[in-house]
Amino acid sequence: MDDERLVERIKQGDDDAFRELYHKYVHQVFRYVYLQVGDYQRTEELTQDIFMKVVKGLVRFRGQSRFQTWLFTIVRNCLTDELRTYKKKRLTMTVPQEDLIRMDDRFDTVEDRVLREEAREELIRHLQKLSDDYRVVILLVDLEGFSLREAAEILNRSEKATKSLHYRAMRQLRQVVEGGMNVEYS
Amino acid sequence: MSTHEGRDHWQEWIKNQLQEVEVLPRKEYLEESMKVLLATLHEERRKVRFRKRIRRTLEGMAVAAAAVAIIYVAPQLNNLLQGDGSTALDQGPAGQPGEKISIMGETAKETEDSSAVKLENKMFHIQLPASPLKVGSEFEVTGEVKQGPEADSQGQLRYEVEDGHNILASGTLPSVGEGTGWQPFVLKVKLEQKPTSPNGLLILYTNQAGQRSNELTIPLQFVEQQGSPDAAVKHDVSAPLPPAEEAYPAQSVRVLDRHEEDQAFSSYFKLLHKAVQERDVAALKKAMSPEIYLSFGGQKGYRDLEEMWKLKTNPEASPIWSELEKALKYGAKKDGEYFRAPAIELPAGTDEYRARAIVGSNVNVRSAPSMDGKVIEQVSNLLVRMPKDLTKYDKPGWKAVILPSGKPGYVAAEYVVEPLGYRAVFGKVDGKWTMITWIAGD
Repeated sequence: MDDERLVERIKQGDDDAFRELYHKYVHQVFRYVYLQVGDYQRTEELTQDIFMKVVKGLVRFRGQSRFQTWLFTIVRNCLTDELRTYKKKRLTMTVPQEDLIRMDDRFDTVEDRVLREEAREELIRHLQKLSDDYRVVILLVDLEGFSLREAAEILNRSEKATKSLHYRAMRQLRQVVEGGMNVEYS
Repeated sequence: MSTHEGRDHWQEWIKNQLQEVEVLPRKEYLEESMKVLLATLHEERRKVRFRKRIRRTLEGMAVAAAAVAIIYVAPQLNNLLQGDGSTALDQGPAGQPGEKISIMGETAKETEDSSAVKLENKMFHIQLPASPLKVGSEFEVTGEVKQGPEADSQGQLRYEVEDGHNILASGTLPSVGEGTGWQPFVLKVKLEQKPTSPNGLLILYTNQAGQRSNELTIPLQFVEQQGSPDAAVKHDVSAPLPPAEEAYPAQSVRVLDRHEEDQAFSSYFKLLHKAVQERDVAALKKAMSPEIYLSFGGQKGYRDLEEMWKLKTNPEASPIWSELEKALKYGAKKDGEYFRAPAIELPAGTDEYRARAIVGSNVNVRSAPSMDGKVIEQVSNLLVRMPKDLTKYDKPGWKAVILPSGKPGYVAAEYVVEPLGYRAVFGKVDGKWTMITWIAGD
């Protein structure tokens, strides 16, 4: 069932529709928030705050944008203050092994897997070194798969400005990655 | 490989790496979270229902008023104009007094007494001396309810009183006679807590397996409660404590009075304070914007405020004074180009529907809603949680709280600030400070 139909059913009093919508997006939001704040407990609190705002806002959601875009607008608003407050803390954080669960242990040898995991952790650490704007646009476009137009809507910028921001963000991430650890990415 | 291709390739690699990262929430977290969210969702739905009802009732009242005008005024107008009474308008919407006017499934019927109103649907008939019905903490409503096999299938007969924020009373309708057809009933309602708004609704409905239907909404206006809070509860040591429940972690609230930082605002604020202390209606009017924004039912402007809070008819007894005193006592906080009162800052992310702030130093938290209650703890500027079933535990003059330790207790109402209680916003209109908003609820 598509999101808009689910929202309609939630408004009409269907709790199962809400459960479905929540489970559809909670992992995605959780991962996104974690990659922004780097603190598991805080991620739990913020994710809860975000969904609380979703619940309170659902009655006003009129379906002018895609539900997912609307959801991430809420996510962005919730994270803006958080990022401002916890900037220092985030820059020095490391990602604990047990927080990350990787999905690519299908065909690889153990050695391959370890190498990939290390590369990914390194990448996440590098992401934290970017400015908030840069990291956010990369996570929206490259992690969550939003189009530049949708990312622009979430970020409240023009599409052109978002495209340019994404370009600059990618360029800087590349500089950080290549200038830092020797990461194998090809 | 060109630079372009290199960049695309690299971007693709980033994308793949990112998309393979999964950060999983704990299972218990998801379950707990779902419970809280569903409870909030139910609360939100209830509020939407309430707003819809208010709107419908107000629209209904407006339509009824217009219809009454047509019924009574139009024929007379015709007589005046044509002299013989047989006019085109007679075939129009005008009818005889007593004729029913259907309003969105509910019907308002004009009766002999022009101020009296009869509200009805297929389950309930209610006769009101006036609408909105003016009520105190206890009141009676008489009416008729449909009885018989068809009516039985509609389920249990229930009522609820709401003020837009809380359910003030609820229960089942008293039992009526055995017969079928319309049977008279007298409903005695006792509010279990003080209204937070001057207006509210009594809702009669049927409840079939949790499904509400046949709702009949009766607009209420709350008039001042009898007796002072202190006198009412001095010896109420037998009132039960709410059960211990999940609490907020210990977090402070801050009093952020900044009214003296702006000289013009400071002078304005002092005048407003004086107006409230002296119960000076003229000075209060001067301190409020003629266009002041008010909560509830779309009222707006000083004239509506005057009406809602009875500043014209009985200014001395108006409850607005004590509400204003409460809102202004901590000063005003700066918020961009505005000032806001009460000047209490809650921790970020506070759930304003469940939070209460105890403001003051070493405020006693007692085991009962009475000065005779044992002091459990003394707290200062602390965020606490409301117990789940407020209607059962809040008493006049006393607020029930759940302390960070999870322990329940009572605090004298004057030390408790509720995020959704009455609050004022001040702004500059034509270069002069004035109160531009006076609202409660969300």
